[in-house]
Amino acid sequence: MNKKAPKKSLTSTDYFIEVRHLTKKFGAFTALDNVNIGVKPGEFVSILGPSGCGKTTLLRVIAGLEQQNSGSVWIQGNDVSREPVANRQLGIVFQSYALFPNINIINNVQYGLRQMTAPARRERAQEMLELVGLSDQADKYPAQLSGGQQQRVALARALAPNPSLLLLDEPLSALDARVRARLRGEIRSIQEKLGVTTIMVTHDQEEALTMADRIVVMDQGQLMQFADPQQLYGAPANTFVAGFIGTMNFLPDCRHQDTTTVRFLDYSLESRPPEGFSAPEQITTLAIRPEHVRIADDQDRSSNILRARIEQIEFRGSVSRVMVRVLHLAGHPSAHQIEIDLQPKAVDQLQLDARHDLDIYLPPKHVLAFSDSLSLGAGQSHAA
Amino acid sequence: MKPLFVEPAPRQRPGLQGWIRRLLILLACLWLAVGVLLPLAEVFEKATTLEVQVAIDEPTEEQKTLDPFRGEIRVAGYSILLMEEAGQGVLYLNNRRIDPVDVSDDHLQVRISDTRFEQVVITSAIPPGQTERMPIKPVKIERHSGGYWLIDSHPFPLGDAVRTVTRFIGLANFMYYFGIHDLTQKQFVGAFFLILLAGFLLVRMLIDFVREKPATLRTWYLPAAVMLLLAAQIAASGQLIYHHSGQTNLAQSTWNSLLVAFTTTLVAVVLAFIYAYGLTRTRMVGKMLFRVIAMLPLFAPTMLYGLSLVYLFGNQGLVTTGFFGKVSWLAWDINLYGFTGIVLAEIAFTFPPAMMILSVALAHTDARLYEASSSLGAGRIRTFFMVTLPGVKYGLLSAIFVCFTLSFTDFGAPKIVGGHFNVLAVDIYKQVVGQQNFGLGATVSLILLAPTLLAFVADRIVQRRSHAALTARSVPLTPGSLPWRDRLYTVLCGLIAAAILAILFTAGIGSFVKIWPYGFSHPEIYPELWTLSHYRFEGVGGGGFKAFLTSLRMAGYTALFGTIITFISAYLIEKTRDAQKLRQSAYLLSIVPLALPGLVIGIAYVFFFNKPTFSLPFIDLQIANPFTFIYGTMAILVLSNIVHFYTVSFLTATTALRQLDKEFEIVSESLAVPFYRTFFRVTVPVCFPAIVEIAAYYFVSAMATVSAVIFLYNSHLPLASVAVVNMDDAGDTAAAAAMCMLIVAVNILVRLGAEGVCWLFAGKTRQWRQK
Repeated sequence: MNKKAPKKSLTSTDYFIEVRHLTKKFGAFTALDNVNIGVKPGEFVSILGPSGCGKTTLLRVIAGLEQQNSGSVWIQGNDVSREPVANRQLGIVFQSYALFPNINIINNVQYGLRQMTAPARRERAQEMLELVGLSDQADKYPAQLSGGQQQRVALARALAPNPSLLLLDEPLSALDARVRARLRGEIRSIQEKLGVTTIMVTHDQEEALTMADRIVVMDQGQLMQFADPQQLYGAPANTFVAGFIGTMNFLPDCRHQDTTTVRFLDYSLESRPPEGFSAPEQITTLAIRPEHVRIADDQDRSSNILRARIEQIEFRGSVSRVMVRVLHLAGHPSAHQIEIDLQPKAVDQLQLDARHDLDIYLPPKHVLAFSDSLSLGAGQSHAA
Repeated sequence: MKPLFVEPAPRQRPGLQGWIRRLLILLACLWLAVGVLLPLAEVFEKATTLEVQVAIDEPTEEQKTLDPFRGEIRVAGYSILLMEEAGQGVLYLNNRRIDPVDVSDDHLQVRISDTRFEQVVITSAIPPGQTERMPIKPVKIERHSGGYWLIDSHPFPLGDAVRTVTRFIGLANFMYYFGIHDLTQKQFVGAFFLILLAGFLLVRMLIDFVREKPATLRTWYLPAAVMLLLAAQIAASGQLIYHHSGQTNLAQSTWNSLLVAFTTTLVAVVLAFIYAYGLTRTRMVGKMLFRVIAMLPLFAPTMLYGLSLVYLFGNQGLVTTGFFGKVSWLAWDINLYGFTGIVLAEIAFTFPPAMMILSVALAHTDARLYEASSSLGAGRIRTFFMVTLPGVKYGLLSAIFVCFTLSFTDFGAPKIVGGHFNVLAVDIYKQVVGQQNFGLGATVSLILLAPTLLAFVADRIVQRRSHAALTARSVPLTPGSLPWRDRLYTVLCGLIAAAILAILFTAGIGSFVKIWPYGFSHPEIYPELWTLSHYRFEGVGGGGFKAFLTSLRMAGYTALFGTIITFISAYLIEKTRDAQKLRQSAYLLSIVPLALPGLVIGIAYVFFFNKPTFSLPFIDLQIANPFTFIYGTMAILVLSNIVHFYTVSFLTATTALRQLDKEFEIVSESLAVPFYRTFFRVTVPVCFPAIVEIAAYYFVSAMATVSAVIFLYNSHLPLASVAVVNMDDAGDTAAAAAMCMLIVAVNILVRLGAEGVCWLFAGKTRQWRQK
């Protein structure tokens, strides 16, 4: 019914899909707070965050299933904010598969191909089933397939009308761990083969890190960082991302002495230069990954050495995680703990055990400085 | 980064399909408004207004030359006659000559000029069925200089002999009903609301006082003083009303109905609990059979229980006469007609729904709670009170509300076995059908509606809290073997089941007996005992087979249209994403019919679909009622049945739809498939068993119901259930019982048919249903 062409973007971008200043409120609750994202053609972007962070809402607004309070959604340079779902040319795959139980597999896949002739429809559906490796299951019903197979049928159905955008809402969460790991690779390779721009919502960071080209990290409705996996891990933009992706040790309540020298307890530590300006005496949070902390040897006698006491050693297969408590220079324990990942061999060699005091070395190039204070979410992620 | 001025995003276009959906939901709202709200509003209006008849009779010039008659105006029970005697106008008021000079009294003012009426103003009227005049807003009848008449400044159409004007009389009918006299309406309403307000505040304060005792102990005298004042206020207002109220025969029905409802609820819920407990928590034998027997009363009109009771305990009953004198020492007269009979019939009527609710509640329990209870050393009785009862409390409350509502509003059973024991439901019928007193009929309907609405609201509040009692991790309870308990429950349930069968089928046996009871007691005089002649319905009123066929037709239409409307409405309300306000209103409207007794629906339809014009509020404009054409047709019968049984069907459909993946609609939307295609290809096939269930429910209920249709049937459209009432009224008990049996038989057949269809469907679709 909409014959009028959607209005063209004034600033031409090379983004395939773009959301600008997106805000969505549910009553007093702000699900999305001024979110801006641009996705390039053919890119696989994952939206990652703890539950309730607004990631599913973002996907639903992009799909047109929720109406934003302000901001706009642009697809291929056209503002589609007013377009209903059906006009946005997208395929959606849900966690629940949402396969029609009373329709067999092949008809499920060709459900959205109404414009074609019957033989063409069937051919296309068969093609899609071959793509997901289920061409021999065409005449079965959804209930007769396993969860992983059903999810692949759902993917085939979403891709059959050749959508320009594929939206995946926690597609693997209902599956068991082994099927999930295999499907990750399959989905990614199908996506690459077809070159369809894809946005996937997930709460599983491993899933996001292994599948996505770039990852949107969200917390409490706000965009925390949008970057590729390496950057997220190596150069997190804030304490939330630092704590959410992988494991991170935080040294809170530090004070800057100059740009790279920071005072922590009665120690003076060197850090990587922080982004943005940092004035002397400004409060800062230092962070370092467990695998970057070293047991100090004689060469490291210069700086960035902390006195610590071992509290617990956990054997984790390929690594051992040593939990130490930082001691004041005078030798009494502080409130801060640091986790160190060591090779089990090294633990044996050094004959480490609990109650043992030692010096640890924090290499300056791995010490990150954040000007924001430690957020609650970052602390929680240690458990994950 | 953040823009300073945030422009709200433009609304998403709903698209053509979005508009179609909205339009359909709006239609669902509209038909419910026409089918429920407007008729109900009409009942309120009828209860609070008085109709004043005005008739004007004027002789023509030709007639004037023949006799001295110069005109008559009849208004509100007065007849004012103007005669010409010796060139002078002479007035007669109700055939008594009065002086034209001092004709004005408190209620009436008449002005004449020469030999013409100029103006008549009346300021009081007598409501129908009452004896005292009550003040009303003056009705002014005046002669316009143009030569025609004005009533309340509206021209009175020539040739229109009688005109009805309505006057608001507020609570006058209610006060008359409860015998409240010498108290103005303002005083009464004021006192009444003061009692409510003070009572509410007092209860709230008491709760706070008991709960937060330590915190407020230091200033206990302040709340105590306030509570004392509130109590004094309640006492004073209560005394005012009590002082001015007198015992009336009318109000007795209200107390009778309440007494019947409370007694029935108590007995039926206890029996239903025992039965449901036996079915779910013991290992008694024959559970399937017991389940079927308990459901049987659902297929019968409530008159059937009354008729069976008459055959058992009536004056010529099996038990009353001691098996027709054969075992005379067993003869036992329970004084059936009246309270006893009504309560017995209502117990049979309310037992199945109570039993269903309770067995669902008892089946949905978590075995882990019982393991915990016994591991903590709690005994059988303690476990019952600490675990079992709290676990089913929402089901129990629901069962109580259902029993109360059903027995409070039932018409069929009291009509048959009520005797001189008046209840509200029968009173409404008598007022409307017998005495044509619509104002009082409407008033009694509202009195009937009040406790029902209260129970309905209370039930909604209770059910809202009942969520999440059972989690996905709950372990179902499988009763262990306990021989003495299993045997005890087999006996108890067996007795209840026997009673149900007796109350269902005694009338059935009676319908085959040629002359009850003499065929049994005096076989020498009446050798032929058994006969099918009562099933020929010859020489009896009510319409016989034609009535039965009309009922079948009505039930068929109700099932067909009811199911379509219900399922589509439920689908649109449940599965539409936007238009939230519209959907909420539609949902609310869909729930309301549950609170309406059939009699109230019937009387509301009589008022609404008979009303020739609506007067729009605030502006003085009359528009013709576009719905009157369905009055007296099959359509109004079907509509009343659909409304009457709408909510239960709607909730069945909603439950079935909620079990469907809510993403089906989104997926088809993203695939650009129109919603109606998915509706027909996916939603309807997957919900098919629920749809059959709804259709069967509509059919069975429409066959058995009498309460709504008894006001709406006519001689062209006689109905089986109404025929039962009429035949029983005429003393043709056996024919009435025969008609009941036909209804039961066809209902059981329809139910079996529905089961068969579902069974076939399950067989055909086994492939996609398997897990």
